Amino acid sequence: MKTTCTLLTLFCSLLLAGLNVASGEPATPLGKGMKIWFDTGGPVGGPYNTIVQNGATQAAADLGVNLTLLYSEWNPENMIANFKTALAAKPDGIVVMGHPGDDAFAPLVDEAMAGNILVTCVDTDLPRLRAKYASRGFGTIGTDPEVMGRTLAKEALARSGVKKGDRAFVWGLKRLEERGRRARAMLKTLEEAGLVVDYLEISPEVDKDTAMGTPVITGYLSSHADCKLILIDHGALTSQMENFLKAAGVGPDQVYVGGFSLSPATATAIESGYVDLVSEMQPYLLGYLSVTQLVLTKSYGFTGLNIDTGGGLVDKSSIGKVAPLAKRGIR
Amino acid sequence: MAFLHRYRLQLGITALLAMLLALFALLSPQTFLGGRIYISFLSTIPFIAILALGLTFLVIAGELDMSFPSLMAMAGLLFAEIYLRTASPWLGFVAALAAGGIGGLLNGLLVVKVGVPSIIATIGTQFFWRGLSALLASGLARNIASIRGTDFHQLMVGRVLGIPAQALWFLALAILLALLLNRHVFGERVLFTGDNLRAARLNGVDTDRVRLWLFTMMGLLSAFVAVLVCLEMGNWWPTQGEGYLLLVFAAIFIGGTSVFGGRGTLYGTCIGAIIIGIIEAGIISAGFSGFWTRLVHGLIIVVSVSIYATIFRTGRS
Repeated sequence: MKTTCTLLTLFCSLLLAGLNVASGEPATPLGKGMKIWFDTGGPVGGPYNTIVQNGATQAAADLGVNLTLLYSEWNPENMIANFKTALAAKPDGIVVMGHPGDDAFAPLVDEAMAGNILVTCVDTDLPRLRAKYASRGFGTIGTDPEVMGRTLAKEALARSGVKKGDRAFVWGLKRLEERGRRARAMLKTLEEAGLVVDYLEISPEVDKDTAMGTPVITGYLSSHADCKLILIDHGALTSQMENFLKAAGVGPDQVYVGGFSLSPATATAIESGYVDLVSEMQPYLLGYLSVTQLVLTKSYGFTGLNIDTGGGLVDKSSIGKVAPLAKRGIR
Repeated sequence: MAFLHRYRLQLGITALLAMLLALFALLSPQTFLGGRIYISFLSTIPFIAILALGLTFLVIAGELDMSFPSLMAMAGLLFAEIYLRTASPWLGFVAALAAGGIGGLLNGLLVVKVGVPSIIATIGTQFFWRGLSALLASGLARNIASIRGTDFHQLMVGRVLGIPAQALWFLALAILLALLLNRHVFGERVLFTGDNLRAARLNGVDTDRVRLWLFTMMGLLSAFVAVLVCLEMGNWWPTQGEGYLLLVFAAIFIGGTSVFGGRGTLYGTCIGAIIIGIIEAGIISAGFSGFWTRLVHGLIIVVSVSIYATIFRTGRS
């Protein structure tokens, strides 16, 4: 999948370069003068949406686009409010996160399209709107959380060597409707494999301040010493597994640990053997490809792209190459 | 009998903690009768407790500070960034404390000199510091894992005979601040300021100065905790501090400090912080779902503040 995405990015770049050369015009950026409003979805400085933002910012710089960034604190109401603000500014295009769903976005996207404002979405699909407006550039760049959760769980099962009857622990955010599909998929996959699975919901405090997760893991592992596999549906908590396991008296590679999203701290934890497998959505691509797609649609009328960026798995063998990129907010 | 009556609040909160520990030990003996979970608590509860100590002073003085989580983020970022650039944790530590002190003083000036109510002023500065740290960090975390193994790391969060050093820092600060509140004229002034601001002024207490000191102290303690958290986790992250806001207030009010000012105990705050810090691990070790955590937090807060309201006949009339 990573190869497909890389090739696609390369293809888009070559296409942009080639079209300029073929027309014999000076190589001016294709998106010059275009105004795009981009909802990064999360808060200012959020670890995940900052990487999305970095991709969008780079694409805007490469293509000469005037990019305006919006932040929604992962709140669907804020995403709708931001869309209305963007509509009022009459840009050439708007990139949304699909979390509010088709029904919430439908009247607004209809209004945007009627006003010749292009719209596309990232992260979470809006299938009905995509079907309706694909020919006018509405696409989806992202991945299905369920597929992502299932993939990580299956890989972890295959690589860790756990067997039927073994105990596993999943720490996730089921309370979040869309995001929670990832944790649910992991639970389902592990349970279908015959494992005894304990699930714990991440509290809002631990969600924001990972330091408070230490007693949680110590407490759990003290009372469930037979746990052989831990899957964590949270990037920041994955990055702190080294601290948590050390506090619980568990050494590297004693428990197989899988999680999501790369960060410099996660890279260190992989290198030291406290985290074994990390799945990433490659959020940089969400930003880069969505902006690129809007520019292509505006310039040449291309239809919306539907690209799955999930499936990127990082382990000890590949972390050396990826870690410097994580530090720069690209992976 | 007079002793029991005088210290009924402290005895009550201690009994509540003992009951919780007994309950958790009963439900999960393999966890709560072993030592590891307590070492784990000693590595995380000091963060909540130190913040709560500083905030207790402010609440006693009739003020609030909502900005300390953001000030933590700012101070933590300065510490991590300076360490990464200079390899000197001491320089980063001094810069972090300076940022905390200045941030706290700014809060104090807004409240005391400009006259903005503290809850409003500190909500404003909360946004400011969070925004500034996000801007300076470009939203990216800072990995300072290389600081482990340095003398500074050992001094601040290393293990002393197996005990996390942050717990010893907390103990030292708690004793120092308790002496300040209960055995020093400054503590009297704080209590008087919170009890009746106008009366305190008429009696010659420089209430402006008292409050400026308290806000500055809260800023310094926030920065101190931010450095400890960065060291313990080997990392700075953009949302650092955000998770502490409600827990710190909960610890203070469970501990029996009056929201109306003029009364409070640091001992109660410390026990409140311990209660808040052990609940989640206790619930999970006992095999209950994490969904219970907030419910139990809420229950303990409501029951304890209701008992205090009944005992002390507080409330607005």
